[in-house]
Amino acid sequence: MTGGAVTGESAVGNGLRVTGEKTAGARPSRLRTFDPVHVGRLEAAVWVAYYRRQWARLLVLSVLLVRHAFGMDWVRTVHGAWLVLRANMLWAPPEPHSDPAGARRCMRRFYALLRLAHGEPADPARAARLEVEWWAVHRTHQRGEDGDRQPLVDALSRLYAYVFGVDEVALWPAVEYRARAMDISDRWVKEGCQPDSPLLPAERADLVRSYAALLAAIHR
Amino acid sequence: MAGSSSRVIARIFSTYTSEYASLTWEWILRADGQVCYRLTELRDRRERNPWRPVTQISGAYLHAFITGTASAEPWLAGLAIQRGHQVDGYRDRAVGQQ
Repeated sequence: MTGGAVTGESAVGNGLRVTGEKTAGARPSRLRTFDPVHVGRLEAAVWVAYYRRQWARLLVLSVLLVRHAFGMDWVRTVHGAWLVLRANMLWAPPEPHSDPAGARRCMRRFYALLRLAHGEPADPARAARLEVEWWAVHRTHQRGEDGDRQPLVDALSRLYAYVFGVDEVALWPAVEYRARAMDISDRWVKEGCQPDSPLLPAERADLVRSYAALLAAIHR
Repeated sequence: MAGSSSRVIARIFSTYTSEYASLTWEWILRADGQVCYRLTELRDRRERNPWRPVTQISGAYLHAFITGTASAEPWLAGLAIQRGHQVDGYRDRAVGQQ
């Protein structure tokens, strides 16, 4: 879901593929039972802290976000939050100074942590590649080179579909809302990152809707 | 902790509804002071999810709730609202109000 919440660019989730159907009385994986309201609000706060350069707050919020979104123990949570932060730091500089390979390495280690904790995803390297691929699509979209939101939606759908083992079509509502939240965030940044902007509640609401739609698609 | 069998002294339900999902959670306060919640319904379908610990209270608060000199439900509702959930009848309450 939000792996790299920091720049608003990592979006994976909780997730993980659970093979086979849920049996009667069985409880779903911890990765599929996150609280979308809490996680969405946390991620919105992370985005704000990042763009307003509130680093201490960002660090605390990132740890909380990883904890609530991915359900790992505290040691793995702190390690995972660091890996996501590091991936974002490597990715953040404008081209040609960004380091996509380094970002992929960090995210591969992050997904490997998830695999250790929950047994999924099967291939952390593939998940990391899909993750950084959609970051790249988002960057293009942010620059306005591509006014169409569909490539972003497609790239994010591919990531979610792989991580959660769900058909891409079922994930479109979650992805659409997330893409909309990112567009709002980009507008907020362009308008000067005002803390009392009416864009912030709208962004937060769309992130919550996105996580609620995601939960509805993957919970089993 | 989340698996505690301590007696439940208060219980409320919170909700969230959007175009693609309607969710209901159950919140409880146990006699040992632990507050937990879990998802109980998704799109009108009953779900069985693990309890998640939210906080632990002790001292005067817990004593007041156990003896009935204060009502725990509004306090639980405040916690749920603080997390962004909707709770019927407690829309404007904040944590700490009793």
